[in-house]
Amino acid sequence: MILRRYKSSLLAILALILLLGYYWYKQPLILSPFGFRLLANQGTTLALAALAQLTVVLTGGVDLSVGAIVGLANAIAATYMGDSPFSVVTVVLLTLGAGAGAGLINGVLVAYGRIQPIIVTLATLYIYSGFALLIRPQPGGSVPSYYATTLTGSWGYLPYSLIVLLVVTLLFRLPIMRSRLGTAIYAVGDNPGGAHMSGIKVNRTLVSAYVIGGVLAACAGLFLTAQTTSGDATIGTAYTLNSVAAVVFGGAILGGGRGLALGPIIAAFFISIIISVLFAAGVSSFYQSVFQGGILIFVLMFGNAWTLRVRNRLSVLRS
Amino acid sequence: MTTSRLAARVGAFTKHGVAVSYGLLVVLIVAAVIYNPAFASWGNIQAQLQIATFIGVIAIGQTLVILTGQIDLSVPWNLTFSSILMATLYGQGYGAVTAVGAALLVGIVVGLINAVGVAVFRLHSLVWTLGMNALLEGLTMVYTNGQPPDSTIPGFVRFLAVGHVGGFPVAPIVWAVFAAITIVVLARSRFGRFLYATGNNEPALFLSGIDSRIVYVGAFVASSVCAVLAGILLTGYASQTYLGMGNDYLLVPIAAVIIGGTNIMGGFGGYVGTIAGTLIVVLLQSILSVAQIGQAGKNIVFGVIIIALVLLYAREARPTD
Repeated sequence: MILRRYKSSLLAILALILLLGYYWYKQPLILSPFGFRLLANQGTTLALAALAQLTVVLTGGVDLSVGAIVGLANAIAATYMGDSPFSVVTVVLLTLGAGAGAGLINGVLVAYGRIQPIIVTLATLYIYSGFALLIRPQPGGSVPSYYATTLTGSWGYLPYSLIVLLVVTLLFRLPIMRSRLGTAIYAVGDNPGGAHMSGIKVNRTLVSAYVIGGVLAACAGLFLTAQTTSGDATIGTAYTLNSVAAVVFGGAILGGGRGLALGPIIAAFFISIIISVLFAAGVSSFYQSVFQGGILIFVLMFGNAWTLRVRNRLSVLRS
Repeated sequence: MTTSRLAARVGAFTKHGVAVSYGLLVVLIVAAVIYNPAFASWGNIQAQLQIATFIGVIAIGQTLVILTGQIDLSVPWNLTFSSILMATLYGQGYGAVTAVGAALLVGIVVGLINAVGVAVFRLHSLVWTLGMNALLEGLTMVYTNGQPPDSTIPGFVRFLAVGHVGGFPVAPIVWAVFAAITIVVLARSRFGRFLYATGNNEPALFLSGIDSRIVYVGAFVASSVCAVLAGILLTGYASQTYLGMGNDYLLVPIAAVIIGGTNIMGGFGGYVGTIAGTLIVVLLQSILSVAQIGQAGKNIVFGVIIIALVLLYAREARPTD
């Protein structure tokens, strides 16, 4: 039963197990508290960004502004955060608010402006990265060291970043997705017309999904800031497309309606860790992009190999 | 003509994205000239057309791909890799034809691989072409060892990019030729009609006996070759190749296609609108530069204008209708 529910995540889980197995074989040190912390820290930012992307993808859209919101959050946090705990809490809330606001703009334009999500978020990608550049024209800024260690440190074998990820996933996202709103998000992604007929407020659902996505992307930016302890307006760029890749690799369908959080989180760790694994395997840094792209392409082809065996091509076209 | 008929005409006019984008282009030009009369100088027009050529040529491919309902995100490193390959081969003493031919071959192969992923494995082009882009970035790094390539440029590439014929720059002529071919192909050929049909209703196209896989191959190979051509022109223009030279040419041509009124989900639009979109994008960038608005302000204005334009003419039907 559980296996069937998580069937779509299976590919990512298997890939990550194989990858970690090979990493452990090459570099036994990863089985230390330090290694655990390193592994967990590497994937957490992308995992949070992938959760943001997933929430939007479930409604049948795609959010190209995820990376820009990550960069904006990073710029705000590293520029305005002072040393006092009060300032840290205020700035964290401010950053999450900025993420929610960014998501709100996306959602309103998609739902009430009736513009395709890919265009809206392509445009807001420019706008949010513009604001990030206004706040932080040059890389720099700082955050208090206790902010960084609280998020990226570890207690024995337990990295704090994993706790952060669990808290965000289980205490923020899971209750929402299990609520009436979550059901509505899946329904709207699957069949907007049908959802409307069943009395679901399609527009409000869309806006909520984009706001949740914005907040999650801001979480990713906050964690990234703890990792880098400085601000860089352009640092988020890579997270847009990697988050889409993680979501698809993790078994969600671009087009909406299907996808669970587990797959994309696992896939995000796979995509983030693979570079270190290649490094440990002694692959020259020039070949790393080749392997990263090649493995992504291979995994995607493998996941869709069923299309080659289909007798009736029409069923493929309609899927 | 009665007022209601006039209103209907105006309504139809604004619904048509192409008309709006050309209208906006005229408004932008007038505003630019009023703001700074030097905009209308022959030197500046030449410079703008020169820059528009790179974006316009890439946008040819993006228009074809977007009409089928897909997107090509492999442009940046496809462009960079093939340009560096061309310049390096030429620098090593191979002839100009071999060098340019090798670059074009890279384009064809990349386009074929893109098409295979989308047409045979039915993967979403947003992810598939992205993977290709990462792969090509890696290949570029391996090929150059991460060093900035040091190379000489074939003479006729320089001529195509920055040469003049009778006082007129060659690059925009190259663009105009490709643009004319694209427009005719889209409007008059079977391939053109199949492109629209693929974007509109692929199962219906399949049921009428056409293999849409061939259509994807055509669109993606064309897009990839356009990216290579733009890269070659850009190399001639800059007299050098460098890592990351393609990074500015991913989202801007896509924005030009959208501003030109082509539906991002495919099936509607065309290159006539994309030309206006390209010129609008180039003009906007240069107005913002002249107004000494920094990169941050440029990004914000650019995004707001895309949204404003799309709100004006490319809204979807209500999902609830």
